[in-house]
Amino acid sequence: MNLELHAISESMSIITHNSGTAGNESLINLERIVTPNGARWVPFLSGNAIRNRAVREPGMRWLIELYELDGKLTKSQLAFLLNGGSLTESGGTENLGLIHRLRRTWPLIRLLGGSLPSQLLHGSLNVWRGTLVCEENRPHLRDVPEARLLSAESFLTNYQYTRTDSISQGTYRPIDVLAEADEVDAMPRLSGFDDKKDKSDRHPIQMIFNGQAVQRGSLWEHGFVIRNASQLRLGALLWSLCLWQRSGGTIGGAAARGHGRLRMYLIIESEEERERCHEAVREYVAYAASVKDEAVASLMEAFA
Amino acid sequence: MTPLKVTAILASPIANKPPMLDGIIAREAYFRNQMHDLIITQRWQDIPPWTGEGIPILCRTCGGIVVPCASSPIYCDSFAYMERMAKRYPTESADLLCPKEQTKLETTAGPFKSSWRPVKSIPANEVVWFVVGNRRGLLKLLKRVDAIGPNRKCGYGRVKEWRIDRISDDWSWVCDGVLMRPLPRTDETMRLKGARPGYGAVQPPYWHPARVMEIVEPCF
Repeated sequence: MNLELHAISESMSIITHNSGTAGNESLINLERIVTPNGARWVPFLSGNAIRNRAVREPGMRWLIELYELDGKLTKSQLAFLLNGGSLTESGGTENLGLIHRLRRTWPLIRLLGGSLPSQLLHGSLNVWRGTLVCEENRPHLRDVPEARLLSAESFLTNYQYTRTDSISQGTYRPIDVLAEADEVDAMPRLSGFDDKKDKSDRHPIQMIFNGQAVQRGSLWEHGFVIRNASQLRLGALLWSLCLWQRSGGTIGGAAARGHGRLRMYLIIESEEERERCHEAVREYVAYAASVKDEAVASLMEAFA
Repeated sequence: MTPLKVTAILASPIANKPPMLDGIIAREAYFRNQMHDLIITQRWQDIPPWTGEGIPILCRTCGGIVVPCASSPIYCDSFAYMERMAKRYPTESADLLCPKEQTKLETTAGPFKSSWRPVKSIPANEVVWFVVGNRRGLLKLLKRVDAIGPNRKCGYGRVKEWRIDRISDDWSWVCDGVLMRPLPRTDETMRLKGARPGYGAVQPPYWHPARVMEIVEPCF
């Protein structure tokens, strides 16, 4: 049976989930929406990014810590755990025993799938795109109010930063200033600075870089579908989302500057369902700890 | 078995192109009925001859080959655009590697190559197929299908609703003399309007190399 989880998230800072650059300006990811008034470009959060940032990375990092694999992984194992790995060896056989052991001991791998060097592991999680709650997206949203929503355009904004060089930061004193103070000969020249550069470096050089962003306070609709859901896989998904939120819940670029913070709210309709979710998480956390040795052994076997 | 119009109301763009309906139905039916011999997941797997058993779609013979009565997907392609899907090695987690593995890593080629893969995105609001089949049987199977096309795990091709309407005419193979789906290449099928000779499959799974044959396909 498929299990569908819905969520709404609110952006706590501007979102810069980028798709490229034009000069010094970064461009956000836009999708084309066909409306009765023609096609419109609307920001979205890609399913690929949500899948990696909100589920795979926090969930796997927790398991790596729990299984004490920190500092013991090979390059291929790290790629497999944190970005899904890649198929690099051709082969006409599948090691069904290994697939079974990996999927049994790593519910998160069963959920997300991945690629071992010689075989593929199918996952069971479909992650929806993050859909901006706006008028253009109305037909694609669940339970929207009848009142008119703001258009996607009204959520777009810009940011701008200035990167300054060492002159303006005071780590280097320009020659002219020193000359006025009659200290030129007394001051040692900084290494790597010659007379040819003097003219260009007399004035501080600033690089302005800017980009598009989605405003703080915008709402996004999310969904997660677990095919043939089990309690453990539900627990793995919820625990990963929980860890992601605890670590700041960022998506997109420039997280170091505070961009891309999302606060996610799972939509759980009944008390019974809420209890089931809590129970699933408790069960998953206990299970992951109980199969530590087997899980590590199956991972090592897969990359032997 | 009656002529039907199947509509998928979509909530996100489809990647590349929508699939054939009989392909979706066959896969769902085989999984649901646990017909393991017919579940093919790899290109190298041997594939048994297809008879059309177990699916609620009428199958007829054309040029000696069993072909399901289901048209190709009909959708609006005019607003298609290109999206990108990124993948890169998690270099920020290099501290998790064992010390002897902390060496130089090639990211432009080899197993850890970064990618910035283009994905053709079709923002169609709905996709339509014409079939001859059992309405109840189709609904039962399609209820489980929540997304169609490639990259479903990343949110492409999400289906919000399936609608199945009864119609009066059978437009699954031919509509007003116009070819509606790939058929085996014969003198008769070559004479249909809009028929273009090519190579491909006329039975599910459409991606399997063993299914490739001489066909005529619609040029819409």
